[in-house]
Amino acid sequence: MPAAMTDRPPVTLRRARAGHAAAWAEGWAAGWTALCFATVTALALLCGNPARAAGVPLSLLVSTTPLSLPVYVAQARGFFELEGLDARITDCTGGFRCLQALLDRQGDIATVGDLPLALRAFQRKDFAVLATMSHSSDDLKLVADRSRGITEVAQLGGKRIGAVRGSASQYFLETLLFNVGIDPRGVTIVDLAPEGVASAARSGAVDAVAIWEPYAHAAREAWGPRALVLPSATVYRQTFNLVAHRSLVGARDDALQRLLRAIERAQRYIQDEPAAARALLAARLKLDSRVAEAAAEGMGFKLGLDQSLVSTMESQARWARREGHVDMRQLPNYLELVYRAPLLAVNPSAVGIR
Amino acid sequence: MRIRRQLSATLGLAAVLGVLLLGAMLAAARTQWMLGHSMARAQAISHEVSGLLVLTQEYALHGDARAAQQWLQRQRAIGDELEAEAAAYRGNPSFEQLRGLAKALPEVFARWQTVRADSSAFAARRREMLLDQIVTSTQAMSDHAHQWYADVAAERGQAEQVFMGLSLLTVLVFGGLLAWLGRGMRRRVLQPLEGLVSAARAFGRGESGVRLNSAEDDELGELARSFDVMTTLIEERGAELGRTERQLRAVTDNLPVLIAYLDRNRVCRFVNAHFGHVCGPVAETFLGRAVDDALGAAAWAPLRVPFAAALDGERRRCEWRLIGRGQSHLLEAEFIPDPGPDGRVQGVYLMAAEAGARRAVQEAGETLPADGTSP
Repeated sequence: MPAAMTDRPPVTLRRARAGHAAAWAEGWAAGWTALCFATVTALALLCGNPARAAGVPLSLLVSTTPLSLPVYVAQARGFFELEGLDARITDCTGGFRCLQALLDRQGDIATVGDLPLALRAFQRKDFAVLATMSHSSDDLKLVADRSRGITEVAQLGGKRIGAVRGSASQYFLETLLFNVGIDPRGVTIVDLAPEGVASAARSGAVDAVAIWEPYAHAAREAWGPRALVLPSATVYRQTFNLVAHRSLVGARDDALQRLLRAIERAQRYIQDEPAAARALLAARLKLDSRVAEAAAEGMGFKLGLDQSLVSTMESQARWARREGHVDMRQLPNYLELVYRAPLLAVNPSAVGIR
Repeated sequence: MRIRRQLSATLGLAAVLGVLLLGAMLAAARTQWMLGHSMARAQAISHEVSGLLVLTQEYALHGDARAAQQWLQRQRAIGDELEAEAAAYRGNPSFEQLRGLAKALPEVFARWQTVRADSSAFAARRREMLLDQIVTSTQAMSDHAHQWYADVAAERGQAEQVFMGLSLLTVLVFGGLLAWLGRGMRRRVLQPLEGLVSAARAFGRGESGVRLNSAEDDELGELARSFDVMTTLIEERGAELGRTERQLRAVTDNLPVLIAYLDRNRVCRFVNAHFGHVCGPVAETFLGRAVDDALGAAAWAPLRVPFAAALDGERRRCEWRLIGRGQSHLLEAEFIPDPGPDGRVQGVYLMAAEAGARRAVQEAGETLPADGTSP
């Protein structure tokens, strides 16, 4: 039989949610605030190198060729300023002229192909190669007037062929002739200035021209429907390089590193935004967009110092000596013309020359 | 939201996220594997190109047909390896340059082989030119192969980072889900259950007015409201039982009959007030004691047999002389069994009235005319 129940005051049990919820919300808010602050701070610290020396001056002598695209992109996109450089750019027609201007102290840095470097090293060594900026197996072209009975390279024997003496166009032409078994001494090489190619073509002074872009395009336009671009299946991989005056070596390494970093940014931009880069090239060189696109097609843009640069220059030096383009018997030591330190500081893995 | 629905939604979300993350991780792992494969191929090509350079110089120095044959075999192997990777690396500048050089080189080598036999001055110049081309091109191939390998290695490093990132994300996502689930379980299940357990314990201790007053629309809210209904009903029935008990007590206490309830072990579970009238204040000590101990063995002796019979289910009567307050009372006791729900006798009711009163009543009944007229 159950015991009798006695009456007691009522008790209501509730969960103390309000206090727990408020504490939980405050904790979350504090945690997220701290995380956001830490993230922003870390990003600010990680976001590259703030320019310590704003406006470090550097004058660049830049050849008007599609191979100079990284410089044009760096200029247009403000990458020089981003790296704290006050880059003043002067155009020159042909890397060989840029090199001459550099040696005449008209600038600090020049964009030069491998052939002018190889030949100039026979005479003087007051310049230093910082890095290869771009390369192409298709920038140099052999354009012929088919009305002169030229439909293939093997038919160039005895013809008048325009080229720029002492430049990559002459080397390209002679390499091509040797490949097909034509002695370069059996053709008439007409020494042309790059800007004179179109008029030489129009005037009939030459039957064909060996020249780089955009002057090859000018020759095609000059000959119109008679123009024929001969297949040049050579293995001449032309490099285009950043060359500094020897006086900058060791004295302005900081500026040289900033230059290389700006060029690297430009190369990343070219890779990520190829269409925009080509549009920029067309605007800069005043080219038709299709011409700019075709010109940039076979090019590679990557900063580096490869062993093949040295071996190519040595090969070119042997050619120049063998063919009598230089008088000196002893080949220069091209390793002495390479200055690796700035590129080692910027991108060690890009330096392949030991 | 219902707990079941929330659990289903959470499990569904976990499943979807799991599938997505697993898919992403598998894709990242596959990318890593493929890039590893490409790296191995790039290394192999670099090795082949190194051999090509040596064979070129060997052939240039000695003119061995064996060197030329091996040169061609190596070049063919390089071409095959490059074609196998062409689809994946079309557009990579280093790869395209390497491929272009590899395609153009055999023709130059073939020309060089042809010119070797010519002894003219032009042929000598041409031979040197072609050899230089082959050497510099092979060196360029080596540079491009190395750069391609570096590009692939960088890609693989990125793929590894993606994989690590996905792994970390998976841990964070599922850790977060578990934490969220745990928090939800605590807030929506454990805390309400704790409240329910506390309430049940309080109710079990006899506290009245125990209510959870839950407004939640989930399963535990329903349970809490059911608990409140149950405790209300139990309290109401308890109050009702209390009233009934008090009424019965009033009746039994005012009857001139000794009423007691003994369990199977002869322990007194109930005695009415008349026991006190007959036995005196000592009757207050009977509750909870064995009846033979409470009344004394002599007083209990005549009741032993009828009590045992009642435990067996028999209703028994007997005469019982009880000494209380210095007086002797002759009682007529009756033992009534109390069967439980299972039919087994769980206790015995003892009712005892004064025998003299009954005899007097009986005798009074015997002297009354049979025809019912007054004597």
